[in-house]
Amino acid sequence: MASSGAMPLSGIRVVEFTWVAAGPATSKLLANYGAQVIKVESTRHVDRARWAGSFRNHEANPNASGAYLRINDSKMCVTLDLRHPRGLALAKSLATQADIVVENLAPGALKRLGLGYDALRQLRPDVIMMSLSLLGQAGPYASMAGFGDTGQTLSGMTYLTGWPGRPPVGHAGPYTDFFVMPLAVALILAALDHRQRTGQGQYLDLSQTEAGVLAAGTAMLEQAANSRSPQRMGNRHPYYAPHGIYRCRGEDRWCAIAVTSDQEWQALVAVMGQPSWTVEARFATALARWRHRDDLDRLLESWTCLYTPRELMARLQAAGVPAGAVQDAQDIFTDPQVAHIGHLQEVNHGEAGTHCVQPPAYRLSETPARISSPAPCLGEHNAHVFRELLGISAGEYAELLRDNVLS
Amino acid sequence: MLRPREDVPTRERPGSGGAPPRGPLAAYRVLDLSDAKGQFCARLLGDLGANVVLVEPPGGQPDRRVGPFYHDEPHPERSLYFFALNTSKRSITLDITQPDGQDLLKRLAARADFLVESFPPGYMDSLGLGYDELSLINPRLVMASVTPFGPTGPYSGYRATDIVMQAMGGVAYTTGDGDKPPLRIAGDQSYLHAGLQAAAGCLVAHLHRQTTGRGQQVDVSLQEAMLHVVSWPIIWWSLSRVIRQRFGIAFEQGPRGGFSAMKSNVYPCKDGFVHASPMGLALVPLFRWMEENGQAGHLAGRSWKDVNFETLPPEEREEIEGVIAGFFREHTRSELFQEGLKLGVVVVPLLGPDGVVAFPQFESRGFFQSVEQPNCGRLAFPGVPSQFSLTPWSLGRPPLAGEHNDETYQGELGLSSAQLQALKGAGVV
Repeated sequence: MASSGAMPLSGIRVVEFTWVAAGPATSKLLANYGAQVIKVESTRHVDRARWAGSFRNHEANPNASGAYLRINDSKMCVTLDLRHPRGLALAKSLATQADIVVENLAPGALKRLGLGYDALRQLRPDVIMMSLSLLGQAGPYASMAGFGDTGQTLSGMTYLTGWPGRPPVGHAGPYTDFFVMPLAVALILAALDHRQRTGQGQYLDLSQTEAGVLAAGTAMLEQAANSRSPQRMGNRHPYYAPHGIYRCRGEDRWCAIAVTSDQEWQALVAVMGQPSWTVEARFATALARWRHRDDLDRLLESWTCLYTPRELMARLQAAGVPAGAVQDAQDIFTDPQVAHIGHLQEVNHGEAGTHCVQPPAYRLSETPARISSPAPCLGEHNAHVFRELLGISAGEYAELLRDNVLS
Repeated sequence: MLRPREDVPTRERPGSGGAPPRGPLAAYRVLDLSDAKGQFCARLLGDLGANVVLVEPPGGQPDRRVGPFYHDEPHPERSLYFFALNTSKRSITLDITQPDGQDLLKRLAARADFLVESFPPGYMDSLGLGYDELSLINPRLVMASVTPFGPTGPYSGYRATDIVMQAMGGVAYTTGDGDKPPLRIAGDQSYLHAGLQAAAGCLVAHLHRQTTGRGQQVDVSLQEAMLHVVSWPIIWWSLSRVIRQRFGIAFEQGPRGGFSAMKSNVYPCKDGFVHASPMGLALVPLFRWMEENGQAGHLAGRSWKDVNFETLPPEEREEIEGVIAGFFREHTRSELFQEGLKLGVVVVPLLGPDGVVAFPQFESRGFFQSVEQPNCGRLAFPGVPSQFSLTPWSLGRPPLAGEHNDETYQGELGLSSAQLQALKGAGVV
């Protein structure tokens, strides 16, 4: 791995025992700002993201799975059999040479292996360790298994997201994984700063479901203050109308429009060419428009469906109306703003070929993020890490290979 | 488990002889000039102990007029929307469009470690308060800007609200049911994601400053923050040229040991809805359970041992799913959840906010903290979702508009009472 130069997290070593999404994504964001990240896996229990796809040409390959490639770039990967005493000893050596240990295995799993915080701090008193789990390490439901979609549901976010009169929908997939990821980075860095000033490490026990509750924060206060849950309202807004996602020209093409003031309403009316319905009394004031939002949306959509999403966005934005094309994945790849900020960075992976990975969404003016390498293949860095970083002799390394310790 | 803290959220720098520092960031000062788009950033820094001053325009932040309100009474000191974004902050009012206001802001910036703002690109520069000017006064300053699309580029001047960003960030397209239009995730999620990304960015820049002595700018766009939510559709397109569609909460399976193949994971039950986790829909224990209840229908007696749900033909999956759904309909959320936990079948209650605030797991960790809010009484706020073994956090309450004017302008900047009165008279404060 290339030298880290003068990156903000240069010289910081992260060792992770992670799988699936939230844990790997957190340490990836540290790697993108210069931390040296070593991911410990095992060939017996590989990170299941390695089998989740997408795979180019449908060829399943644990080194080429999209779910893995997207959040493990810029890292090294070693494989260890943690049931083997020497494998466990090597894991312990790695962890105690780390500044930060990140794990998101089932609560208590690392502890049972002797790799819990209390064990590690005996060997490395100033280590910072984060356990990232569905519900925290202790408590009545801590041992429950689940992904970020379960976190979404237990946080209230699934309940809140959907259409009136239909079952809740939620976001597609493990929403709290993505919400907790930048939060986890901030918490780790706060602990790291504290350590740099005081010399003291500590243990962070992060619950991704609680992070999801923060995402539903206003609804929680509404419950606390007014003993009432907000209802699902689709794309509608409690005050603004029109506010929604409107059909455009083409198959499954849509544009979001949000009118938040009389001025924006007048601008929208002007862009539409002042059709006669817009001067009716039922649309004369913000409150009247909100009351008649069903009719308003129908009439508006009879105009939006004449345009493509990007035509509509450009015309409305030129007039000062908040509007945005509903972009699918392909649209994102042709979005000129996404291209301008350089969000999709191409890497060339030996087995997966050329694909895009995403840098952190925080852009530092003096020390830009870097994608230093594509996601590692399983055990790709065994020789480098164990021989170079841990200083194991060639003979001993050959024995480890022979005894299947590095598997 | 609630740990209410002192009502006055004053935090002193270490060694100043005041109250002991609380939270890992108690050593730092933050100026927060942002609106709802960026306020979550300094909320997190404040909850972690930083001394945060929210700089509001005279009359208070416009977000204070956004509902819902405490007891449904519209009032600038009762906005629950504002509260959720502004715990653990102090507040001053300041008109930064006036020269005297700009001068005061510079004096505050000279003493600050972080500044967060979310004005349109170029606005702070137009007031003489851009990073170039402020870094002359305070080279250590880390300045974070949250904008819809970034400071430059073809869409940088575009206007946005959250739904626009969920659309442009790829989130809306993949959210919702296949037979309905794209859907916005409830709440201003793009603002929250951007705030968290900005907090992370501030701390990365801070760690760099600790070695170099120099601050820098941190730019976060709502769009880029949203793009991280759709890393799955992005990688699918990148590798396979497949556009991920929307189909409820379910996410796609892999070929082996991957994720769920269930078309929809939300099922009606006797008293609401449950969410069957793809991790927990283990067919063997689930059908044993159903058979014991005589509710396996025509699928009773079938062996599930070697059935891989993910590779079954769609008609067969639908048939199995129908029988499972029928079983769920006959039971309550609690029955399914509790019994499922015993059997290793994860079927969780689909909680609304009432269920969340009562969920015992959160209480056992002290996640909700009760805070006394003037004009409102005690309110339980969601806190920081992590426990720190050495530097525990505690929430401060959201401030009243301008509540800390006197202690900031007189106590910290050393203005005389007469000077402050004059500034108030001129509408600067």
